[in-house]
Amino acid sequence: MIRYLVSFIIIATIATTGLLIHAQEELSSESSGVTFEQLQSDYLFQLEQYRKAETRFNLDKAEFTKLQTLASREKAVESMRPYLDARAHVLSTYLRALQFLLNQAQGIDISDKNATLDKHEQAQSYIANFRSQIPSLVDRDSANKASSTFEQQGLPLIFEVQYRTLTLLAIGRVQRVYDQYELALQEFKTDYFEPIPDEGKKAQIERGLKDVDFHAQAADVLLQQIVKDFPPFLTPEDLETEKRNPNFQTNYTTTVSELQKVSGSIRTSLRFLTELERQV
Amino acid sequence: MDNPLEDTKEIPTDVDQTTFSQSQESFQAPPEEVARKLQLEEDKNKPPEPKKKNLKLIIVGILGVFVLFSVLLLVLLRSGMLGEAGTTLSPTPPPVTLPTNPPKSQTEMGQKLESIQQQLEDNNPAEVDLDPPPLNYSISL
Repeated sequence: MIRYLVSFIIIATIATTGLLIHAQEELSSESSGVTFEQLQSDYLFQLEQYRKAETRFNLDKAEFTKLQTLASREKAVESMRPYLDARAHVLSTYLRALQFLLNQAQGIDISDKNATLDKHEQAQSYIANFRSQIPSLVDRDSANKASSTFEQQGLPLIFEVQYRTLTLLAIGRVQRVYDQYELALQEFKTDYFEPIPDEGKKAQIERGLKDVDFHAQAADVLLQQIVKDFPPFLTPEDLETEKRNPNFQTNYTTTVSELQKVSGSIRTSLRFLTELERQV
Repeated sequence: MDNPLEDTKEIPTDVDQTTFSQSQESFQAPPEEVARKLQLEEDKNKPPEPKKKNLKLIIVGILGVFVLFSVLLLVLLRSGMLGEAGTTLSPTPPPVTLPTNPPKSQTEMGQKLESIQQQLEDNNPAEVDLDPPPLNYSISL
């Protein structure tokens, strides 16, 4: 009786906490009045604007390369400015959409989430600062220099935030399912396995549960390892050295591959548990 | 002078005249008794008319046989006896029985596990909510 009461209190507490967190997140997104669809639409619109700017710049650059005149150079610099601005704007809208998803995501360690959200703000500040300098880029050298600085210092920061967010979202998706499965497994043991009166049948279910636990623990260990191996943020010093350009995409792909193994272990454990549940 | 027309032979008027039918005995209507006998003989020669009651029984019988055959055909089709005997009644191939998913669990725990299974399928870590933008990261003039 006491065991039932304790399990009920635990489940009720978890459910209430989950509801409160969910309500808080909904409230924050509602108070800002922005939806993911709007942010996605902004991003796609800016991507379209970027394509137009890119086409114009490529034409003017080709003309300058061919003619090598002062007029064609001025024209190319004039079209380079909106091109640089469009690229920065696309990155800004893309990061806004990712930031929104990260805010809404569950199953992510709160410290990792907050640290990444802070980095989002840093990246947005960097982009805004860069965009504010663009109108002053009136000659070819200053435009090339500004572009180079952005690519060497700004892009590592942006890529880091981008791929870290994508990785956290992927971890959150798997972690959330694992947490629910873990709760269901404990509930099965308490409410379904323990009360089995037939000793023979209980022993049989217990043997099955060993396999269930084995795969569930494998998923848990791997998931913890992924979180543990999560690379630290680049320091300002790193941005000045060659460390600034680790292959973010490769790291992300490797993490996703590991997460798929976690999903596989959960799937196997869940399949065994479903089989046992039908026998009880 | 005598009238020449008066010289013609006189037609006897007192001759006992009868009609042809009267002179012929066989053409005269038979007597009443004979007519009755003839009628009876005619009735005997005619085929007997089926009675209404018999007709109803025949229709009911035919319908019964038809229903019986229909039921038998249905039973044979259901049990697959015709299929086993190599008789094909329709051009459609016999239904292929594929391994189906196990029946849905009715218990609360079973439904919970099914829900988790569905969430596991929906939350593929390889799926990206929004792909990174394909941009030129090396712009120079």
